[in-house]
Amino acid sequence: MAWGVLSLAVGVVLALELALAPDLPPALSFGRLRPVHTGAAVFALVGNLVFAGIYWSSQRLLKVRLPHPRIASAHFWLWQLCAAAAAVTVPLGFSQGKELAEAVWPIDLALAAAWILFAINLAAMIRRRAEPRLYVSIWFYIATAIAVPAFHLLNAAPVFAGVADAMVQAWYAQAAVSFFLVAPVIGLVYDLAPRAGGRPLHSYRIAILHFWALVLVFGWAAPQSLLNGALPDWAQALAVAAGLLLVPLLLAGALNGLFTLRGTGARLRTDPVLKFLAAALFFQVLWAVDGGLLTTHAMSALVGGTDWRSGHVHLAALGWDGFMVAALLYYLVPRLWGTELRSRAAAGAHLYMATVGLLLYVFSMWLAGATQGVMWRAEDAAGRLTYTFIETAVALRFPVWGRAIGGGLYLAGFLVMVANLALTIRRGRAVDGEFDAAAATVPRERSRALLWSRPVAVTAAVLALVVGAGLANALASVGLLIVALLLALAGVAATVLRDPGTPSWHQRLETSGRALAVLVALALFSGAAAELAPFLARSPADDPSTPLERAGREVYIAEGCAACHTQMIRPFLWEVARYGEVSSADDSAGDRPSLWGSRRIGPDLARTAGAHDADWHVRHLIDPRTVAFASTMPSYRHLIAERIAIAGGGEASKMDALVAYLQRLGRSP
Amino acid sequence: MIDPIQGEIVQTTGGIPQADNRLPGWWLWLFWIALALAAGTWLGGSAFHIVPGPLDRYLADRTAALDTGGLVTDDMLASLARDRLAVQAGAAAFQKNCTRCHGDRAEGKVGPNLTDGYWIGGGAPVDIYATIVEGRNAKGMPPWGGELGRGLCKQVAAYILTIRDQNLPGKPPQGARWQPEPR
Repeated sequence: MAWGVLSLAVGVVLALELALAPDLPPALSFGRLRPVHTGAAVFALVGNLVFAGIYWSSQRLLKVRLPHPRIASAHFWLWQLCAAAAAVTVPLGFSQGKELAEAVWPIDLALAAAWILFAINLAAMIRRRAEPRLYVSIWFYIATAIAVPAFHLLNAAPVFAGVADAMVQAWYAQAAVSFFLVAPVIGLVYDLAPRAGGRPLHSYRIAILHFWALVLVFGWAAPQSLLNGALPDWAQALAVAAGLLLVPLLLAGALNGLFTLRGTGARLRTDPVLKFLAAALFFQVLWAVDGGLLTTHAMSALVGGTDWRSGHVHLAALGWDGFMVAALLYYLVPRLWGTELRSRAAAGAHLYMATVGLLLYVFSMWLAGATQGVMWRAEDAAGRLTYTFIETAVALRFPVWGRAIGGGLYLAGFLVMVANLALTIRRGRAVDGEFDAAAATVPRERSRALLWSRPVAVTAAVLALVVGAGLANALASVGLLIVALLLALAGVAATVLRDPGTPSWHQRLETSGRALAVLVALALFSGAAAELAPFLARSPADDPSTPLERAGREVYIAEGCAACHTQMIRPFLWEVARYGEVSSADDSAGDRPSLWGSRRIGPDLARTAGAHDADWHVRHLIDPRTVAFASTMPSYRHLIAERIAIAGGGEASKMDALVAYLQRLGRSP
Repeated sequence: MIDPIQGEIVQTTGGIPQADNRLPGWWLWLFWIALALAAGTWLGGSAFHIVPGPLDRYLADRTAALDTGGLVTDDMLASLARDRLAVQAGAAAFQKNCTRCHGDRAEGKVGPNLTDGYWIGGGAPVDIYATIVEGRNAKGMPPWGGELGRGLCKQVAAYILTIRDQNLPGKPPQGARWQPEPR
């Protein structure tokens, strides 16, 4: 086995340190540290899992050795460098202020370069393969290599403002979740489940449905994180519709994985790989159902901005990805070092610790989210709000402890695994993997014939009808949707009724990596174009703030205030009573980047100007507890002494700049 | 080749044998339900406006809250007139119910011009509100309090406060000139 794969497998272990470090230094404030935690978990830990897994899996599925081990090695080191650089610079106050993309532009460019290195190797493996057809896992890897870098670059471009930027950020976050946390890991399941179980894949046709459904539908659900915000109704309706459709589609894929494990019998109770796989698939189902709930307006109204979302994302990050990290490592490490796993009992203990820890975490967050959501809207008989914001935060002390204990248990389980694997490595020796890398030339279809074909035409026509329905008036849209449905059914029928002796169009498609990549790109970007274009077409508004206020905004971004404070008052009486008039898209039209935020660990700040005088703000920032009893906000005493340059000459105390910014939030220009 | 559990193996790709089972029947039902809900969300919301969007629902809630609110004062209506969303709701109700008599831009038709400074039933905010709620039967204006509800009437009054004194060309002034009393 190529050395690149070996180094990447080690990289996963290295990345654990990156993922776990954020809990250690308490001196660093939450706002600056949260991006380190999310970035390390998503890009360092899961990223290394994804790349190691793809390099390992692709070589076997394509029956080809890694063509460019040096490029893979460069990819590995560049990726670790980016992860480390982001983990250092963001806490130092260099931030773009975009969720999951906080690192500044030089790191953005380096990340893009790393993606290109990865794509070179993946494309070369596909080109030089000895296996005529591409297995379903490879489809998912192709989608990852196209989607994530494309939306990464779109999001990194500093050209959008206001609601357009909010939409671009939402699409990027959706791509990061669906095509980084989910799709490539699903690809790994399609490889690992049959291989580790020694059983055939349950269903080829479900795999086709699963893959194309995710590529076509996932992106459209992007605005669900902005539900009830200052977004036109049509964009919210699209997010809800796509989000609801995703539930059965994700479920279908998880069933395919779980049913593949049928017949593994007693091994399902003893083999840590199969146990973690089954649990990961179970948590994916739970995550999908929770996602379907969150994508409705009513649920979003109740728990939007609360800890519920924290529970939701950890269901994916810890339950799905974390368990898959374990499954892959328990499978790979003994094989890469030519030995047996040191202790199956320890792996079993890890499973229990991780499961109990995760469930404790998630249930705590559901409880906290529901509690806070209900308290935020509670009003007394005279129509006044019952609780101050601080009271709603104080009420969460039990669930917050549940989260800490659950997370700690999960971490302990992880350490058990690291120790187990370290001992395993010590007693083995690194070996090259064995597999058939036959140097056969294989017949390929011409990609043009595959693209100009009936299935593509039917799909394009159905999509065009659906988009047309969106633009047409009400009655015509019903007609167009019915025609689209009939056409889709006819297309499915034509496929089912074909002559069973000849290879299907999809089987032929699998012989052409190029045609597959073109279709994936078309499916992804047509959705993005249809949903984003109406926003991007608007010319960005000017920022009416003064230079001092703008400097304060930079401080707000650098300190990561958006990690805990939204700037989006949603259209509910209880929010208006607490924070002021409903936010409109015009309020933040000049904001670059958009700072709507997604979490309300502290209160909303969209109209905080004038709520307190400057003196209060300074005292509050120096020591929040002196003016707001039991506040969990960190002290920002250090801002007094630090200076920031003001555009147009001069400099000011960061404290003055930040207070000036806070005192303009919600004031009309 | 037949696998005892998965059934017929239709193909082997990349060394992995694959069966070709269908999804269970209950899944298909789930899918149709989700598809119907998704289509219903779009058609009910954005296409037919049967289900109001979040902002519309908020405006309705707010109007209902105004409906049950206590005393109406000049100050209260004046502050409502500075509230973008209240004025928006009032304008929408005006366009729907009032333009037949007062003109599309309130420049006057059968009813008087509302963009000037002259008022038949008094120009103080509470007078305008009372005119809307109770009507002026003698002059042919019907009462709107029952049909629109008190909350919406307040918002229509607030909207009228924002458009008066623009003096759009239309029906000549009727009634008496009204100016706020100096404080």
